[in-house]
Amino acid sequence: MNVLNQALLEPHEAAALIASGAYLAIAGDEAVLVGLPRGNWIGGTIAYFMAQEGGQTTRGKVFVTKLDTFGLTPTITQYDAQHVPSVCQDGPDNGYSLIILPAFSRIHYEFAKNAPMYEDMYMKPLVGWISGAHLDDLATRKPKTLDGRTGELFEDRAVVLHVPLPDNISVNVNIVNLFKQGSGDVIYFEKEGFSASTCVINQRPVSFAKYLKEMGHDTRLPLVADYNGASVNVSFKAVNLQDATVDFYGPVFPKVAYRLADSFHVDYEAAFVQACADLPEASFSCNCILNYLYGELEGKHTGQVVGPMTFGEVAYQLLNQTMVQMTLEMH
Amino acid sequence: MQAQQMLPIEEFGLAVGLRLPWRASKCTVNEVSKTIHLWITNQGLATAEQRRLWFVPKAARAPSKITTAEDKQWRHVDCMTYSCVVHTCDPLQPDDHELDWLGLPNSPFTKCLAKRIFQLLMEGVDMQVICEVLRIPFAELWKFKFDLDNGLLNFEYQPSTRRGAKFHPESQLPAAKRAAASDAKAVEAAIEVPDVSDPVWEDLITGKLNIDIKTLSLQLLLTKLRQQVSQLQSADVKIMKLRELHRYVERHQRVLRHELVQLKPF
Repeated sequence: MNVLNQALLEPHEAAALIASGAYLAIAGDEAVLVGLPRGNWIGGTIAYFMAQEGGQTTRGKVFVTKLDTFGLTPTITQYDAQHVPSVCQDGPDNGYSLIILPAFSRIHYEFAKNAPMYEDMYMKPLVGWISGAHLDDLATRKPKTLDGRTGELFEDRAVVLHVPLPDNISVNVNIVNLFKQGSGDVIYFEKEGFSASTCVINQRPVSFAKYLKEMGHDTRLPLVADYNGASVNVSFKAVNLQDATVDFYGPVFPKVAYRLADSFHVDYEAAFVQACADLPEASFSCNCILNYLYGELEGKHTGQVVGPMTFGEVAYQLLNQTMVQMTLEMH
Repeated sequence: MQAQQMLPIEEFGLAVGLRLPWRASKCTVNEVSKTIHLWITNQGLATAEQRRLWFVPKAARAPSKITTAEDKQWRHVDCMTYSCVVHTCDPLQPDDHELDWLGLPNSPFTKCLAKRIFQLLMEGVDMQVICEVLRIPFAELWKFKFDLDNGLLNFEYQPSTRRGAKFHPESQLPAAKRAAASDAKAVEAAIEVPDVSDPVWEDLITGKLNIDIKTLSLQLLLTKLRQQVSQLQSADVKIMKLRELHRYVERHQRVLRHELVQLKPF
């Protein structure tokens, strides 16, 4: 069912797929995306990919995910920060929604903080990713999304493909997280947010920045929370000792027990190969740019799993440093 | 274009359920948006005005002046086919916010409408349906439910008569129901979804029962619901959370075999 639905392609190959009327999610450099023809697709800017040939950084190719429609008609919808809370509710009764949000935008922060509270969240499958840019361009180019029907680019709007499926097909959303909670202190935060100055450890308020320094923590290893068996990361963006703050790539939440991740003693490529060994081929998958960078995955593989390497992953809610994979199952 | 007209206000006061000393002081009707705006006050009519009104026909009375204080407003239950918005410029005491025709300071709804919305949520009515039926914006309903979920709002749940018997406190569950199931039946039932009234849901949502969960959406949903329930004061809202969990499991029954075999109904 999922054979070769995802691939890194030349722009003219993507254009041919668009011309065929297929429903597509496309990741690529802004200049290439705007040059693609109008059609049934949504897009987001990114320059890092896990291709069939291995990890690649390229501005010239696009990563295309072709969505099986089974004779049904998906819909494309744009959402601003005010309306994105209804994204799950707008999804099909049986099917899934694929969302792309622009990084560092208001809607990115709105989704990161509030998605778990959206109506029908977890009831209907939602997968997707956060668009970004080549790291060399971040000072000059904002991450964007694109509505392929019109060619419009957005800096503060999400684009979504709502994909209905026949009743005999169900959706499985899985994550592969190489990180597990370590055995160190349990860490609580009193306020929700992308930044924290203090945390609570052993019932005592502590400067989190100083704590990380004292522990000599390698900040490539994220905070990890255990969500009833699912390890959910919050990645470190910066530790500012001067003003004693720690910035994250996703929000921390109060009443959630975090621990610093354990380090693992194999390289990322081997760890992904091991973790993905039993996974079926995906209809959609993506992985985190931090895994790409920290794991030095250029030219390497993550098992058989391909996809854009993104500024955040969506498996229902926003995730960090996590591979997301969606498969379809026929009953 | 807005067409406004003055209507007799006492009738509107009665229609929205005002009780003395509250009275309607001004009413406008927007024919374009089909909305009635009703200003209410608990201040008595000035003596002179009362004397003047003694001999003025009711229909000819001018609306009393409203104070210049902040105009607070809440969406009320509809008045026939018109939406109804209640305004007041009176300074309000904390108890005033509990009146059916007023609302909490940060709420878009009067207490009366909020109770109806709460009832519908408790009965498991889809939020989109509530928005359509009551003609309220989804964003406002979402905020309302968010406040409920986080224990910021509390209401008494009066189950509809049709549903009244659905929820039993654990102690009142028929003992026979627990004892009667043979092993064979238990195995058969294990892959079915226990009824929403089964205590297994409460055990699951409060963390008394832990099962091995492989399905990501259930892992995330249960984490959220357990956090919410742990900070909720209201037993009624907990029931709403149980319904949400039950609705999820019913919906995803075919992919939850691993989890369902661990949920043995009482």
